Order: sequence, then C-alpha cells, then structure tokens
Amino acid sequence: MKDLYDQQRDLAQSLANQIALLQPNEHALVRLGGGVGTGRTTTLAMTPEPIRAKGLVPIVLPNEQSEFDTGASILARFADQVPASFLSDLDLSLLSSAKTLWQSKFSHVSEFINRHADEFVLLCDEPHYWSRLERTAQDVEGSDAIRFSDWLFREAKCRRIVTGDIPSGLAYIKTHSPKFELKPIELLRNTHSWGTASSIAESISKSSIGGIDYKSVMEVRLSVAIAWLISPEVAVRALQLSSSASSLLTSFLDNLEASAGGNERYQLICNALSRMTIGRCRWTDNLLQSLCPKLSELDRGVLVNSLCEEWDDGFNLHPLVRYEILSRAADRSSLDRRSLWRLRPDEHVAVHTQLFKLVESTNSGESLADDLEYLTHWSLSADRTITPDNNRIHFVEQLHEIGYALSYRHRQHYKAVEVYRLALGFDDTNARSHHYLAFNLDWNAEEQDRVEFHYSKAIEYNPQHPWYHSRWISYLVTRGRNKESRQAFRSANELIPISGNSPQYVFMGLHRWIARWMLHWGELAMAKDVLDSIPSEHRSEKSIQRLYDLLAALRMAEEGIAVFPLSVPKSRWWQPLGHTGLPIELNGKLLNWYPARINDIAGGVAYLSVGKPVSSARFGLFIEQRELALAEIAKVAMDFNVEELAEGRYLELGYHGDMQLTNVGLHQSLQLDDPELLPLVPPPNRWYEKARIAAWQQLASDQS
Amino acid sequence: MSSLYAPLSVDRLYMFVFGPGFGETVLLRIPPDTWIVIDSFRARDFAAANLVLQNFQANASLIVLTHPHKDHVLGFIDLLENSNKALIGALLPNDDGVLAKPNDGLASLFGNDARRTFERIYHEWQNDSSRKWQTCRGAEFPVQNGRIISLHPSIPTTDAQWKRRSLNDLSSAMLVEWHAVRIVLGADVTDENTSWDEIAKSFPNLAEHLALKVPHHGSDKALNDSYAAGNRNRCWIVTPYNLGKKLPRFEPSQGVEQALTFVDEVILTALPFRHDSEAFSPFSTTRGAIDAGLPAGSEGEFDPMERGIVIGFDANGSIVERRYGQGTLRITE
Repeated sequence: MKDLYDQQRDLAQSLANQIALLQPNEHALVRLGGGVGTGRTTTLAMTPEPIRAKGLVPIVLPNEQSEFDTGASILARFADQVPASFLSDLDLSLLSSAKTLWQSKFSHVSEFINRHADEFVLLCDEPHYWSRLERTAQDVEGSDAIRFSDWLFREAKCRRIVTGDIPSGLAYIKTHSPKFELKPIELLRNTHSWGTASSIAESISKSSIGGIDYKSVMEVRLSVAIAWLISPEVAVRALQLSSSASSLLTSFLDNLEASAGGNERYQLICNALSRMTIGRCRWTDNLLQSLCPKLSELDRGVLVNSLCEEWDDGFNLHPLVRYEILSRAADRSSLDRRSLWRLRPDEHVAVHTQLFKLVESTNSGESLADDLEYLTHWSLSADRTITPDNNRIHFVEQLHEIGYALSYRHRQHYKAVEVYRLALGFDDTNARSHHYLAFNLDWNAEEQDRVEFHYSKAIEYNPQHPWYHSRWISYLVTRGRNKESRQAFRSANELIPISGNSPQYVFMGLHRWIARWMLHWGELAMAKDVLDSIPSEHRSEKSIQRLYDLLAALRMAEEGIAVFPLSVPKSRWWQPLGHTGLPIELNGKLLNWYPARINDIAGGVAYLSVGKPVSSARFGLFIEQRELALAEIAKVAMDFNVEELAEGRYLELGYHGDMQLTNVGLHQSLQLDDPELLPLVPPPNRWYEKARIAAWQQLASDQS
Repeated sequence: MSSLYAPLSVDRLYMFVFGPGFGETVLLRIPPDTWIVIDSFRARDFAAANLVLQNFQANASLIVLTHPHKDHVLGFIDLLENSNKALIGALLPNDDGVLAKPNDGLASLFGNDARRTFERIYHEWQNDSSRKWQTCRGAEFPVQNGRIISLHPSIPTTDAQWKRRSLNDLSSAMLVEWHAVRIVLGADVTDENTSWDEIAKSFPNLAEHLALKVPHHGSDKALNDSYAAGNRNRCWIVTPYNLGKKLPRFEPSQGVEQALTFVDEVILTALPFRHDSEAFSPFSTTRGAIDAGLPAGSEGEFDPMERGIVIGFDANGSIVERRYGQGTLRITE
C-alpha cells in the first residue's frame, strides 16, 4: 500500500488533471472536501507542481485567520506569486500605493485574473477562515476578505481549487473528499513524525483503539496531545469517543485550562499558544525557544507536532487551533479563561519584536506580503513614533490593524490618532478610519469638533454598522446630550433593520452597549427603552439579562430602596446562605437573614433600609426602615469592626425569629465587578476630568 | 389636574416648591413671564420642573444647580436641554472627592449623573459664555422689578472645602427680591461651618422675608438666628429627605420644634415617611402628633408632582394665594 505522502501526491495530481480539463468560466471550481484534519491543506500544497506541469500558473492563497488586513494580505500574496512574465500587465506600484483604495486594487487584480483566466489556477485553502472570527464580523464593515471570497466563488473566471466550505448553492464541478488508505496506528508508531513526543505516540499505539482506522490525521495528533496532558488511557478513550477533530480539540483545551490553574508549566503552554497566534510568518523551533524559553523540549515537541501545520520552511498553528485560542482570549463570560489566553501588552511587544527581526532583512518592494508584515511588527514591537516607511505601506487596512493594536493593546491613543489620520490621508471616505479616529480622540477627550465630525462621517459612509452608531450614541450620552442621544438611537434603529430575524451581533453591538452606557449615566428610562427594543427572542443572552438586573438595581437606588450592593446581581440575591458568611443556624435553630443598606450613621445609631422577600412586591421585596445602635451591632458583628460602617455600606442581618438579632455580616465588596457586564471604555469620566481642571484653571486665571 | 397647576395671575410672583420625599425643585414665576428653576429631581422619568414648565407652556430664563447632591441633581440635564436659552447657574467642583463614594447603586447612580451634569454645564458655558452664571456670593440675576442674588458660597473656594465630608456648605442659597417681596431659598446650607453667620455678614437682613425654603430639609443644624429670628407669620416650607435618619425630625429639640420657635406654622411638601393622611391637601396636624407616631402603612401611590406647594405674592409684599398638593402638611406646635 502507498504511504500517506504518496496518496496525497496522487490526489494532488488528480486535482490538477481535473482542473485542467475544465474550461475557464465561473463554474471552473473544484472543491477538495473532507473533515478538518483529513489532510486537505497538505494535499493542496502539493498541487502547484502538477498544475505547472500542465502549463498553467498556480497561485496559492493561504488559510489566513480573519484580521482587519486579511483582504490586503490576500492581494499581497497573490501579487507576490505572479510570475515576472505577467508583470507588464499587473501594476505593482498601484498595488503598493497606499493612496489607491483597496477596492481599486481589488478591481485591478480581479480584472487581471480574468484577463488571464485560461492561464491561472487559484488554490484557496479554507477561505471561510478569512472572515470567521466574531470580532471581525462585528467590527469590519463588509470585510474586504469577504468581498474577495464572494468574487472568488461567484464571479471569478479562472480555474479554482478550494478546500473547506464554500457558500451553499454555488455550482462547482466536483467535490473530492480525501479518502486515504491511512493507517493511523502506523502514524503513531512512526517515531520520526513525533520528535520528542515519540514515546507518547508510541504508548498510545500499543493500546487497542476501536475505530482508529477511521480517524483523521488531526484526531490522531490531538490524541497525542491529550496523552501528554493527561494519560495515554484517557487519550485512547477520547480518540475512540470523538466524533471530530473539533471535539477533541475542545476537550484538550478545556483540560489544559483546568490544569493551568496554579500550575506554571501549563500556564506557560497556554501563553506559548497565545504567542503563536500572532503574525503570518512561519515559526521555527528557534523562534519558539526564543519567545518561550521556559518551555521544555518535550512540551515544544508536543505543541509543534500535535497542534501545528508543518511546512518546508517552518510551522504555524493549525487554523482551527488558532481560531479556538483567539475565541477563548475574547471570551467575556469567563475572566479566568480569558486571562489565561490573553497576552499582556509587554508580551505582545516581545512577540512583535521577534517577528520584526524575521522580516527586517527583507527588501522593501520585494514582497508585498513581507512589507505588510514589516510595518505591523515594526510599529508594534516597541514604543516608536509613527513615521511610516512610505516604501512599505500598501494598505489602509494595515494602518487599521496598527491603530487597533495601539489603541486596544497598548493604550497609546495619541499615537493611534496619528495612524488613523494617516489612513484618512490615503482614503478620506473610509468609515473605519473615521470611526476609530473619532474613538481615539474621544478617549483623549480632546478636539470635540473633530470627534463629532469623524463619528458622523463614519455613520455617513457606513450607516448600517452597529458599532458606529453605538459609540456615537455613547459619546452623546457621556457628554450629557440626552436629547440628541435619544434621537440618534431612533435614527440607528431606522438605518439598521431591527427585527427578530436580525443577526444577534446587531443587538450585541448596538443595543447592549448603549444600554450599558445609559445605565452608567443613570438614564434609566432610556436604558429600558433600548433593552425593550431588542426582540424577545434575543434577550436571553446572559449579558443582556445582566443589564436588566442592573437596571432593576438602579431603579431601586433611585427610589432609595437598594439593599443589595451591585456586586450581588439580582439573580443571586436570595441564595440560601446569604453572601457574607452568616451561619444558617444557631444552637440548632434556623436563622432568617435580611439584606440592609446603611443610609446614615448619626449619634451612635445606624439608620437602615431592610429588605424582606415578598414575591408580589415591586422588585420582589418589601423595604422597611430600622435603626440599630452601633453598640448592638458590635456585639454580633462577624469579622468586622463597627468603625468600618458608613453610609452606603451593605449588611446582612441574621435574626432568630424577627426580633432577636444574632449576627450581622458586612459586604466587603461594593464594586460592580461582573464579567458578564460590558466594561466601560473609554473611561467614563474623561470629559468631566478635563472640564473640571479647565474650569478651575479658568477661575484661577479670572481671579489673578 | 390639581389646583397646583391652575392658571396663574399675571401680576403675581409665584413660588412652586416640590419635594416628594427624595429630591426637590423650586420654581419661580416672576411677572410677567420670567421663570426660574432651582435644582431638580425626576418624576415619571422626567425632570419634575419640565413637567411644570410644560403645564404652563413656559420657558425658563435661569436654571440653577445649587450643589451636586443626589437629591438635587437628577434630571438637571433634561432641564438644561429643555431650556436651551436659559442662563445656567452653578459652581463647578475642583475636586472629585465630593463625588467619589463607594460604587454601590445609590452612590454610583447619582455620582455619575452629577459628574456628567457638571461636564454638560461646563460645555454649555464654553459654547456660549453669556449663559454662564457662577453662583458665588453676590452674583445677581436681574428680573423686572427685582433680582435674584446668590448668597453663598464665597469664592474662591478651596480644595479642602470641596473635599470636606459635607458638600452642603458649598451649596448656593438665594435671595429673591421683587417689589416688596423677599424670599430666601436656603438650599442645603447648614450652620456646621458657620456658613449662615458668614452669609449674614454680607446680607444682614435675611430674617426680613415673606417666605423661606427652609435650608437642608429643616435639620436642626441648618437653623440660624440670622435668617430665622423674625416675624412669626412668615411662610416656611420644608422639603423632606426620606433616607438616613430622615429629615425633618419631629422629636423635642429637633428641627421642627426649633423651627416652630421662630414661626407659627411649618409647611411640609411631604413627610419623610408614608402616612395614612396623604390624601389630604393639606393635612393639618401638630408636631407632637407626628412625633407620637402617625399611623403608618398607607399603600396608596401618590404622584410626586402632587407633593408641592405654590405660594402667590403680590407686589405689595403680601402672600395672596396658597395652593397645596396632596400629601402636603401644615404643622403647628
């Protein structure tokens, strides 16, 4: 039987034969099917050679994850592979000029391809990854990468071979699903394939694994990772039970997260994986050692052999792994998980510095893809002034990526302003440039006129983007412009079709943020209107429910009847044991506990609002006023001194019956610290702080 | 529609005082049609003063925020937006300490709103400096046949004052003069830092007034001879504060009893707690009866816009009209 490599070569040859038989037109599309980890990418990588043998020109477009500049990167990678003999017909200076709009560059490239449709074959690896990450889906208006893939699947005339998913309903000639005569057991036994992890692979291979013949290469690889993390027995069982590579990957990452709690070794592994999500260039073992010096040789071997794709010139994370890690790093619902996968700003700088060294030696203009990477890593590798190398800037989207990193990762908003101003200098109709210039100016609480101009321009150029509306409205309400913010919300609702069928990101990007800001500023009626305008089928999302909880808490505060701190959300109010460690019984008798807020302390007396659960009452509780002498509280205080008590502190009163005070607990945390609530960025008080300082400087000047 | 909102006589000065339990707002209608609003609270999710202005189809000429406490600031921005030509009276803080409290619901709600309100005021002042009225001692707002004078605080204020535990003594009390009418609006100025004695040095005749919005919810620490020792027929109006130890207090030697040593009657826009005589307008009773404990527990919902008192003055310096909303009280000793 042929080995796997030969089988893949055969399939590559078959693909080349098939595609060569097709006449170039919009149906000249062949799909290489099969599940994740079945060897599609490797096969595709073998296809250019037989295609060239047929006198055609192969162009490989890789499986890039979605980033802001993915569209730019695809064009750059295309241009880099065009043979010199065609360059008289392809204007590279147009492609490399930052002053040319992406759309013009794209038109130039797509027209070029169609002019040479009978000569070029595009080999596109997993193009659905180009726009897969949720962050991009919300943030990038009609992503350039999506435009490229739309054209690729629907209009391109040249021959194309595509792996992975394509939009349903499109005509293609034939789907090839790799069915290799793979012997996974042999794969496990092949010590050459596993490097330092060979003994782990071998330990699995000695077990009897039901159904292993039907497992993909990636499933086998992931089973080695699980054996390394837990045990060969668990790995064998997981492999037997797994339905896909994705489920095995999820299981591996979940276990890795659990192991990382308090364990430095596994924390380093997570950190290393996060570092490997950055950049587009191939990684090498030297680079990995340099960036993750504390990783053992074995650990590096497992990461590379189990979770990466290997190429002649290095390796990089399998796109599915990268996607999973980036998703976990962005997971707002779990701060623990998020912190495990998120790199600190200095770690980002360290990775970019190293990656910059890799591209530093390239000559400008030699490779558009390298140039694209050069400026990104150069800008983000250290605290540099933004004085761009004009020879290396090619795409406005690249500046967006840099500006985004400066703004979000490094909090260098003045520099981000420079970058977005530069981007607008190249394309003053780019909604994204306008929006983020406004956002960063807003963050600095400066140049109010420009903030408003650029926010409004972003909406003008892309009126259907939820974020552009939500940031503008949040700005208005932060500046105390209630009437305008209400009008702007109505206007957003008109511009963006809102119905039960609208995608969830509309509500998550528009309503959820606006409601959060309205609540922060005490605009409760407006917050309720915004929340209520979300169709009911979209309201079950946790972060939306928590906004309703916060609304209820603030309504109670407004009425002066709050008895729980914001640190205890409404859904957890009445948990049986309370929140301050009160005993539930005393001398065998059950205690009652009631929440209370200190409204005032005067004359040795604490004036309290005390809540009792009454399901029929508004907010589900009845409030009564009680006065307790501090001396009385001191006798039964649990782990606090009465000196700590003050207006605004919250207590839990333990009673035997209704009259005998047995214990008093004090809520230590008052902070609204809820991972399911959106963080408020930019800082809410930025304009107030500027105004306060300016007002008093002015007063001092008037009086001097 | 209660009598509070009945048409106004063109030649009378009217003072509206609302205070449903938490929050207060005062409106003045000075003939022929000058409206002034001092402080804000929210009712039915609207700025209470806006509802009054809307009722009388009026626009305010001056709106004042006496100080950024939670029972004075809520809804002030809506008031600003509704009165976009009005002069804006305030004094901006120079230290955030006054607004920095624990991030519990109450403090965060009102602290955040106060910051935003000040920023908006600053912004409006920057946009149009002719709308700026710093409510420091001696600042005047002229009206036809009269003026409004800010009594407090003197400036410059210091960081230490703004950091002080009590912001009340930086609040802006006002004196209203129109023909023979004198009204003192006490804001929340107390005597803890001898503020009233200090005010009296510049304005020695404050006790000669027809009506007083009693400072700081009638607390004992707000009463001072400088404005209190005068004619017993003067009209004193107290707005309650229904949180904490609740103001005013009715026990012997507390605020109401002290007030009744200066005047025959104290009028309350509401009690700082529920009582079962809230349907009356007004309910006449005695301090002793309240101190002895009015029956509590009424579950009826009352409109905060009813918890107000309207006093009409003529140019001769007489009170010629009194309107009482539901739940208001007239209290004698």
